[in-house]
Amino acid sequence: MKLFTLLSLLLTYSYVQTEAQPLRTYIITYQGVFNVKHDLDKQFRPYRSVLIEQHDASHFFMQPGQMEGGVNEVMIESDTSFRVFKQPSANKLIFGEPDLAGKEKFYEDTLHSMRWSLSEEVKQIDSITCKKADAWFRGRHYTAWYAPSIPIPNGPWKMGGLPGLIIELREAKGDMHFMLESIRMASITDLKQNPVMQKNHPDIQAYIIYWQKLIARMKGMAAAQPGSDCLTCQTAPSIQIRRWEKLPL
Amino acid sequence: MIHSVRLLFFLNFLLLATTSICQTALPKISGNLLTYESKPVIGAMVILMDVHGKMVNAYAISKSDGGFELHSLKIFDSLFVLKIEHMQYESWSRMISSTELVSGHLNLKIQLAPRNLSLQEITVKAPPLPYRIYNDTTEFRAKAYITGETRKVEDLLKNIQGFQLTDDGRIFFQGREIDRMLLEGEDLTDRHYRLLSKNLNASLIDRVQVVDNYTADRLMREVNRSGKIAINLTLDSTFRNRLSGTVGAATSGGRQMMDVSTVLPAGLIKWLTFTNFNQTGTQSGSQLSDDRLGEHSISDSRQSRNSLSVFEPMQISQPPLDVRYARDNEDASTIQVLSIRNRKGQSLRLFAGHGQSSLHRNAELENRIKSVINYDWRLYQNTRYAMKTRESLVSFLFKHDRKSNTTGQFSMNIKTSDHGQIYEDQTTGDFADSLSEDYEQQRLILTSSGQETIRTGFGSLFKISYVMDIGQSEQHQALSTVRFLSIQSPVSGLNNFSQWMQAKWMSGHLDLSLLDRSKLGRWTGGLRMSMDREQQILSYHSAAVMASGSAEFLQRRRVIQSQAIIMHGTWQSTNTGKLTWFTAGDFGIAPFDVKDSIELTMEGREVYRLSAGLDYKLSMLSGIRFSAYRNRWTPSSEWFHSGPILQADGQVRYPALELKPETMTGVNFTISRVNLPNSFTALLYASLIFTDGAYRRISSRSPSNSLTTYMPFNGQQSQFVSGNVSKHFLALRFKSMTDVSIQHINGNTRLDDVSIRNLYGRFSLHQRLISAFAFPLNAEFSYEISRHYNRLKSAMTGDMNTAQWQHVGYARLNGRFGEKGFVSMIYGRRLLSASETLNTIDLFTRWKASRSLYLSITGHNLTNAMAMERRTVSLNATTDQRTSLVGRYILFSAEWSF
Repeated sequence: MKLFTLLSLLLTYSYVQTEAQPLRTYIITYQGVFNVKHDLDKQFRPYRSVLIEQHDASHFFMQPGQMEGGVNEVMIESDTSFRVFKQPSANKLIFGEPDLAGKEKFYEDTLHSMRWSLSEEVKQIDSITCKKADAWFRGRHYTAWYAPSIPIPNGPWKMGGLPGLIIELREAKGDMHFMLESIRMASITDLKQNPVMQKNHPDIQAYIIYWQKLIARMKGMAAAQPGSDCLTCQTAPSIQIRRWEKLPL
Repeated sequence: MIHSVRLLFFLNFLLLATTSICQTALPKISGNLLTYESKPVIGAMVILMDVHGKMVNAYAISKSDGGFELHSLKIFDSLFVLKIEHMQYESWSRMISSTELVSGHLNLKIQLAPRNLSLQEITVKAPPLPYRIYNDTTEFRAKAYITGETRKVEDLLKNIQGFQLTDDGRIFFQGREIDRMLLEGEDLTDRHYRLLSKNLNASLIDRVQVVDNYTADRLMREVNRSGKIAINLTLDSTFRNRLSGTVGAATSGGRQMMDVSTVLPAGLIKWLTFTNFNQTGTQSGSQLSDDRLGEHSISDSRQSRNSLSVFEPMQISQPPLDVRYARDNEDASTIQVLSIRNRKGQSLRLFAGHGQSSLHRNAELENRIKSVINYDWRLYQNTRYAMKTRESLVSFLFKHDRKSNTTGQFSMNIKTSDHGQIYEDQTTGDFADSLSEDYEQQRLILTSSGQETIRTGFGSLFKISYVMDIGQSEQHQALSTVRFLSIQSPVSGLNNFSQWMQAKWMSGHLDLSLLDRSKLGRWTGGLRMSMDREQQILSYHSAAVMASGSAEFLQRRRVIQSQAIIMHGTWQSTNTGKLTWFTAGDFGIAPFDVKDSIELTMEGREVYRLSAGLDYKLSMLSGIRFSAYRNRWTPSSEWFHSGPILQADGQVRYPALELKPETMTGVNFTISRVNLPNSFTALLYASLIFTDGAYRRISSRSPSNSLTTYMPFNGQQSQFVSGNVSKHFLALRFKSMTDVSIQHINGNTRLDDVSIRNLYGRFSLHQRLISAFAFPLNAEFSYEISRHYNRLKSAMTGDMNTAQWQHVGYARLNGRFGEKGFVSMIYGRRLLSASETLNTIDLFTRWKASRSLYLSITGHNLTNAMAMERRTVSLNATTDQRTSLVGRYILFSAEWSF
């Protein structure tokens, strides 16, 4: 029993030691602007975005301001798949987004599945020489300016896989725009110890099915609403789900 | 069969050849990246580049097993460079010749040496957003908010979220009025910020910075959070170090307008000029007169008190129009501001201005006066009102910030003003009445102030400041009435009244304060000493023919002198978190010595001002603020009364005989919310105020010589709630602005020892909708509904209730012709009482003739020019007033910018 207790203590200690072991980390911040109305209209919202980059793991998240919707407008921020964990060794990308109850749920996606087309165009952003790359990703066209001098093949949100850190990322219509703000050094415990990265999560197909079911349910609920006092209305209530990534919903 | 074999052979050959060609054209490089311990290197960048290292042929990121593959290589050169980069391993590169790729596949095993590379920490200057928030400053890029209609700075501010502008040009940011407007960090106009906002061309501006907790003094900034807001305008680099400006001219028949403003923002010298001549009655930019601008004054409240004695005849109706209309007025003013700085931190500012204004207004009124004493009179009035003001101001300011531990400033202002007004009224109907009033006033005011801030050896700041003013004023008033009432009244007949008053005053305030900041908080403590002396010489004469009464009072002399000493202190938390708190307190005895030629009874001389509050920040621009305060002071405006004041009915107010210090207890609650990216602002303000205290004052009505005793403000409660919400619904392409305010005042007054309970309330709801469609036609709707009620409960007069709904609205249609043309049509409608409406139609068109020349035409038509307004004229009577207005003009104008 004593031996068991000792072993347990040792194990706990070693675990704590592992937990507490800080790794060299780069805190990469981006200034972001995102059109929360997507294709419907323009309503830009600034974000301060942070990419925590370690050897074999990264964590990206955005800190938006508070959001007020219109009087007759329900804003479900399901499209803001902004929390992203990446683990290149496992070729894994985990993204999180809040469900209708506001609880964040996580799904797995393919790491850097976009196919970049490199260009020889060069742009100087501050003191960094950047090269241009373009890609189509889930219904949108993105232009990235990456820095071959910074050997981090990562970038904001789900973007990455370029031969250099993405310094600027811009969606073709300007609805999403990230610009590198700073790179700072830090020592942070291993991101792979994060419970989100240690768990298995449903894949992107499960995510699509979840949304398909949800939309069907919401449409059903809307159709069941009484038509108030509008007797001559020609149109039925409609539910529009605006998503950033154009998935087959 | 042979043919079949041949065909098969041919096809195989073709297939082989194709494969072979394909393999030759698109070879690949694969390999494994390993550490010296043969562990895979994950996430390394493998790049195949041209020999100059400029063009990327192909790239890959090493996988979990360290493997990589470069596909579809384009062989258009004989030599390539294969580079491998990883943060934790030494860079690896190798030249690869095209001959190595002949086989179509090159497989490499590469071992990478570890290294300890750290990225250099970098900060990238990102492209600007339309706004930026840092510390206490919110910065807006002006160009992002300039539209086709934007001409002046105030037009620009109207487009920026969070700013509210009143009709008279006062600027508020989230419910708080701005204190100063700086140009390139320099305060050129003091509190006359409207000189800049109304005159300066918006196209000159690069950035608008809203500075919270603005303090001009560098040392004070370290310890003091003033709570004041200033706007700093930075100029576009194109307009720096050169003279630029605007020349505007307009004509409307026989009326002209000319407006010239220039700005020279050179490095150490700034020069502004604003010159204006305006006969058209439209709003113009140059204003000098404090009287016309309202409460803002270079002189302090002590002097503005003297200007309050300007009586406003009670029966004059204010034309209830807020749209452009031509009055018979004439304004002319010129203002020069010159600021010179040297590199040693010293600056000198000279401000000189002269302005004159005249106004003539005629009105025809139909009155129905319902008195609570059962008289019901129908009266027809013709009134004429004329006013003329002329004033000059010279101001000198010297600032120094040369030494690291000392800052200071000294200023001197000299202001002269002449003001005169005439009011004539002819009334017919149930009784005939004629009233003629004449008023003149001249003033000369000299104000000087100074401040020196020194950092002491133990870190605290020591501040010594003074304010001194010397002035004199002379007023003359004459009143003549001929009144024939069909009822018996002691005021029938010919009555004359005249008074003359000369006042000379001198006052000085000296303040010694210590300020510091520690972990526990920011604090100030100090001592303020003040001295006031005023000498008045008064004479008046009154005569009533029918009542056979007359009174004459020649050369009455009065001297009032007082000293006061106040200790004051404030304490603010230095908490940098979301929650901060503050307290402030003043304690003192004021006045501790009053010498007055009129005996005055005072109950207690101690005064104090206490306040405390909490501030919770929701975000940089949003927060919740709660504050509570209790103040006690002597109503000095009463015992320092500048002599009797003639009321419209010939009432002479004597100085107060008895003073009971007033106390005010209140709580304020504010929630403000600004979400710039969402174009959303909201403000909720609520206050509850209890006032107590009184002064006893006697008024004599001349020439009847009846005496009335007032004890106003003996217990009053005031509740006020207001809120506004502004939201730009981009999806629906319109902007909504809603303002609501509710006010209720419950006060007790004593009139001739009879208690009167007065309830006053006002409710208003103002909704504006502005469309923002992409196509060049947009609309704007505004509707305001308000209700006023006034209930008097008195044992003498019984109960009396008056209540009134008012509806005011307009619809505006804006059209655009490309980038050059703009047309606007405004239909205004006012429903002032149940049956009376007033309609206006304005048509405005502007054409951009060139990059710097704008031409515009304004047409105004007032239709159904009959308005009826109900108002309370005294405690026991109301009047329904019908006003005839005529307003019709066409104004042609041109504006040239350089």
